[in-house]
Amino acid sequence: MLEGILTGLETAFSLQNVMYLVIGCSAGTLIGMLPGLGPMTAIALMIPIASALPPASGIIMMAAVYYGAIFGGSTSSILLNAPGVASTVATSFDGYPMARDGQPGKALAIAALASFVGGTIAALLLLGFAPQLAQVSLSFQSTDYFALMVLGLVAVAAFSGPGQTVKALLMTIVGLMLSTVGSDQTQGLPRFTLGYIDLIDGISFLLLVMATFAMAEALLSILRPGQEISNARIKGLQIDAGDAREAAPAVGRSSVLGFFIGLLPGAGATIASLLAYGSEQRLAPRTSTPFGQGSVRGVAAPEAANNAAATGSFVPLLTLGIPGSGTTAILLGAFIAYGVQPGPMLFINEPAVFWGVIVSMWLGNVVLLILNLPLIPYLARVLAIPRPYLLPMILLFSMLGVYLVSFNTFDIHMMALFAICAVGLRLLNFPMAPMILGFVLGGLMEENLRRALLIYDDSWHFLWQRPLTLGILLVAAAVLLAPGLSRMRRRR
Amino acid sequence: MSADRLGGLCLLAFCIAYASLIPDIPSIAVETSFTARSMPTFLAIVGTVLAAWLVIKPAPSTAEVAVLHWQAPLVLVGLMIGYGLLLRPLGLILATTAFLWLSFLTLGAQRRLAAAVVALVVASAIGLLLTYGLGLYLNLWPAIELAGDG
Repeated sequence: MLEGILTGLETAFSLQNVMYLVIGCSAGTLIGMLPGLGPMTAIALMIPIASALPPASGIIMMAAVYYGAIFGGSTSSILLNAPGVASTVATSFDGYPMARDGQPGKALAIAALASFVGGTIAALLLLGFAPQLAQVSLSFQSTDYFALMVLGLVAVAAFSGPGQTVKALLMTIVGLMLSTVGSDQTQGLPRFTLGYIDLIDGISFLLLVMATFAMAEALLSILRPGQEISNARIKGLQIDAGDAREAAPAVGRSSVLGFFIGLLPGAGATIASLLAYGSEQRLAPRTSTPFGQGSVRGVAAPEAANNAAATGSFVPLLTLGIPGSGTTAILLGAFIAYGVQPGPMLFINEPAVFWGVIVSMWLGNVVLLILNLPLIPYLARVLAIPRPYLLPMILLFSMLGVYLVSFNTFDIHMMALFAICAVGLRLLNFPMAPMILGFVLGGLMEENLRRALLIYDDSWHFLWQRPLTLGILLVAAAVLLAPGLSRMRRRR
Repeated sequence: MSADRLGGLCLLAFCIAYASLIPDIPSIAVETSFTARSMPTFLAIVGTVLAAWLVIKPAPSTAEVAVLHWQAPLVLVGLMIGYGLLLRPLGLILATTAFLWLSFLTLGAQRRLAAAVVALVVASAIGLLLTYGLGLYLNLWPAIELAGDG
């Protein structure tokens, strides 16, 4: 393995690859920062450029675009409450209130440092344990994946706060329902397409996220008089020792959690950030700022977790050839286009690619920190744009972000419809994040359940016969029931 | 009516509509009991139960639904639909300029000429960046039909 690490260092630190890494991080941050343009769009846009490079350089650059875009996405989450990607949704829960409270510099600085630490811890874990972790992932079967997805969905609903559990569960179901629109994955049968050919491929994830977050937020800020976007100028970083002390344990825990969630195929940065947010919400002392009102931990935890998970998601991609998310699925396509087949043989056949990407993960986080911290005051100048000019820009970027993926104007009409529905539901205090998660996991969940039933001869016995599956499902049940039981105990 | 109950009613209607479309999913003879209808059926049942629960037992602390001014957001949604309809016939620059300008005015931009200039500059910059910077072939103007646009 030492030989591999040395190969990786040699590859990642070559002048040419460092240059591509910087270009990738910069492009990813800038694209990810724009509401409506997330990592998927960023990587898709960079594929034509990367395809002209040697495999190791091209893949290092696209990986840099990926975590650069996640890093940049947190900026629009904090400043505009318009996450460019689902994995930064949790960051907006406390980052945006903090920015509206006149502390956008502090929120951005916490996010930048937490992302750096999260990415660094995850890169070290990846470097040290990649082969062993691949073995752990290998032992998972369809039944376990199905159970893990149930756990992820249930956890988000359970962590949604008092009085919100039923609504969060209902929104999860709505997300799962939306994921069933389009051709059935196994039999290819059309479902809920209402006769529209444009719905045969289902509803685009990017479309749903843009409509329910970026667009809905823009429309809500017009509806609610008190919802003005902060136009405070950021003169510098406003993080003090107290904030650092408060954030440090949350960042440490969330980085490790994020990495391990991220390496499970199908889980990824979104679940990691939401789980980290939920668990830190429970662990937070009562004396600290409440979550949802600008908590330091509420910004740091999801940021550390999503960056760590982005790194972790490369484990199943590199070692098993299984993409853990939509973004890594695009990367898998890029690998194949290069003639590089990710999987167990990648270690042997393409050591420069495998170890080069792993080492560049850490180097990329250094580049991101050097690039982003000094640039934060300049990046945040977007807030100075007057509201009558900024909000239509958000709507436009959202529409173009989706249109440039599909080149189908039908998607713009769908976005308008979803945005209206999302505004209505958000005004009625229904959470959107569980719906997005349900939508993301719906297809995978159905696929894994179907595969499990095939393996177990159409019998549901796997739910209690396989100890790992049963264990995960019991944890899911405990997570779901725990808040209700503790409330009942308190009443007594 | 409480917000929970109103939201529950809306989602109950959605779940019922979803359930009513399940019989339209074609079924083919397969040996497995898990078909293309299985997951939707399960979701429709759970969704309906949860939505009905919210209607029957809404959370007591939920605030009442506030009366809001919908005019400007509705105009913006209308402009978005219009943008979708006119993007191809008018081309990216004209459609984007029109969308931005009308949106600026809807949200209270006072200086009409300045708003028009901003809209045109932004639309042109986006069009040029996408076409020449990123190599995406889009109809920039009504008369120009470039190969590769959908």
